[in-house]
Amino acid sequence: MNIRSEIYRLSVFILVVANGFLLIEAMAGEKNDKYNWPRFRGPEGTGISKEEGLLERWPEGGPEELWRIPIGVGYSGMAVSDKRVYLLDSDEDSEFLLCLDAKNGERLWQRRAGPLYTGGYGYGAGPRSTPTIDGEVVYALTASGNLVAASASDGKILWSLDLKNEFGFREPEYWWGYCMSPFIEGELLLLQAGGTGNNSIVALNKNSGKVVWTCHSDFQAYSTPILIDFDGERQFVFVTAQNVVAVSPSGEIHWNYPWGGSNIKVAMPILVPPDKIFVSAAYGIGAVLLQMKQSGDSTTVSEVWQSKVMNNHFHTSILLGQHIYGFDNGTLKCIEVATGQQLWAKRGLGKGSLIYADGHLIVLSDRGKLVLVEANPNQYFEKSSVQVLRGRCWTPPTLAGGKLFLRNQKEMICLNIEKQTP
Amino acid sequence: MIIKWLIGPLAVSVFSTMLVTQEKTLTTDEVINKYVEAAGGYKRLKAVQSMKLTGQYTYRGWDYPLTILRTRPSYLRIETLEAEKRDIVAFDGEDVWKIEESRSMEQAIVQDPRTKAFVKAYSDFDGALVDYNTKGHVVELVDVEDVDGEKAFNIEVTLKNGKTENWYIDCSSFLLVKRSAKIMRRNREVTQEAFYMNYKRVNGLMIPYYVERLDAPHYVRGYEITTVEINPAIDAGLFKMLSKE
Repeated sequence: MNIRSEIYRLSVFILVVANGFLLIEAMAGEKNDKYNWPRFRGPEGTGISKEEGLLERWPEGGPEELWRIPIGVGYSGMAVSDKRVYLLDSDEDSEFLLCLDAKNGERLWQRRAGPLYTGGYGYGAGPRSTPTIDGEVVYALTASGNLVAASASDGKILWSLDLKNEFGFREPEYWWGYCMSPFIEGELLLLQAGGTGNNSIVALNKNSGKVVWTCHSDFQAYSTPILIDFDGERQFVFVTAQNVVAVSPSGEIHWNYPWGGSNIKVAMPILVPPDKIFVSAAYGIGAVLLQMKQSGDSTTVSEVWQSKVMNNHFHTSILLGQHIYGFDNGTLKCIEVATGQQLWAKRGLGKGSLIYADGHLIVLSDRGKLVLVEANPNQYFEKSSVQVLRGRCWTPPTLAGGKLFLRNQKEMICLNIEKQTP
Repeated sequence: MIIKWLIGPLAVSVFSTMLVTQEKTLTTDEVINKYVEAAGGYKRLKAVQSMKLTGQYTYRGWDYPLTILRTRPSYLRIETLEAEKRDIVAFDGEDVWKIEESRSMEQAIVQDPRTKAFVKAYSDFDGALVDYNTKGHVVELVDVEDVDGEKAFNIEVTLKNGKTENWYIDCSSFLLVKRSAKIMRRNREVTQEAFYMNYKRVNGLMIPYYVERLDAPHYVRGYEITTVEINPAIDAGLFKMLSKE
């Protein structure tokens, strides 16, 4: 026996087996990602789910309701991981981080995350931000600016930070509380702290809560950032009160685009691959498509178009191919991203929210009407609709494992929208 | 097969031409006549003496029970309930009054002339286009415009009081789809728009079951109608200003 060739064969075998495990692991990861909703607007923060096998029409009376539970006031979205649902709610004194069993809505644990925020010019009290799950840790931000990191399994608080005190918060003239959701990338947790000096944007060590860097000077907006890869460089794109700003993982500002005066901005920026950014806001600001260009070591941005065609008030639009679907104030629209041209419009859903899955837009009106719309740029085609909640529904749907999680100010429900296999 | 391919586009082309031609050639009165016909016809409209609509008023995501009462000639009462507290605006034939119990207003008050003119214009039982000439209004077909992706005749209505409104009549159904007017809001002139949709036939009349009102693009108010009663008995006293008791 040739020992060398035997060793070679053994090495190949080990390599194949190891790769097999890696492949299985990678597939499992993909499957998990596909069936989890670990942060605001889903696995990639785009509002897009990769789930398939969902109902193409809903039965009369709507999808099967698996459970319905009372919850406290708040607008916090639901993050889902490993069959657990994490969200924030409140009582008359405090805001809470909750962990529910996705199967039945049973409360597994709850932790006080901070005092109840009661401001907001009639827009209601309670938390706004959606928790972010990163491995075994869940991060949550109260409307008053208390950031907590808790163990996802039992809710034990690992660390907490009062953003207002830490960064010398500059309260804008009109303020509705901390709304953005924690953004995790590698070891960093990024947020808009809206602090004084260069404390507008902050990066914390996600394990300790210690400040890694801060940058930029602006008031706070309500928008959650995105991470893009442009020309080989990773950039966090934030919409702050008066700017769209791109920051490197080490806190250097790549580019800054003054936008929309001091009016209120809530929606997240959207990457239009490979090199454009779409941003939109209400209060007469409208939308703008920005073109990024690399020249030497710096990135420049310029407007491709700007228009009043899309005014995202509370909710971020969704990019599907060459089209953007979103709420222009109270009108659901589809626009062509290259030109900003409106392709269709549908009124009557209020200032709703939407996600995309399996060929459809799943739209929740601001009064709890759930609508299944074909994702079709040529026409608005409503396939099913059902009134699932009453009252103010400003929280976008969450989809995980074929289950749709929805809430208003008093209740949370779980609907089964998965096709039933015989 | 070739004929099939040809007939489709040809039919579309002929239909489009007809529509374009119709849009171009219709006079203001012809559009208004078709609008009246589409709404249920002059005779049916005039046969309505009273109307009660109930449903929900929506603002900022909250629902409030809504009741609208109307009787001829132009009595109007719009009532919403917020936590058992009534907000009412009404026109009693002479004055416009309102009370907002939800804002701790204890007594109804008569509104200023500007508000009166505004509400009075809205209280026109048949709408401004019906018998516009006898009401002293002036109408003009301005253009054909896009309203949410559909073509609509834009008719400018100059009311007898000098205010102007624009009524948008859908080019194919001839139903009212949009109405806009300049109003004063916090001492600023803004365009108020109302969009009419979800039409259903009730006693031969076409009633919009959902109306969306925008005082500014981001102030979206919804009026969802769930029941419509034609010619119900309505106590005339309901239009009179609420006394302190």
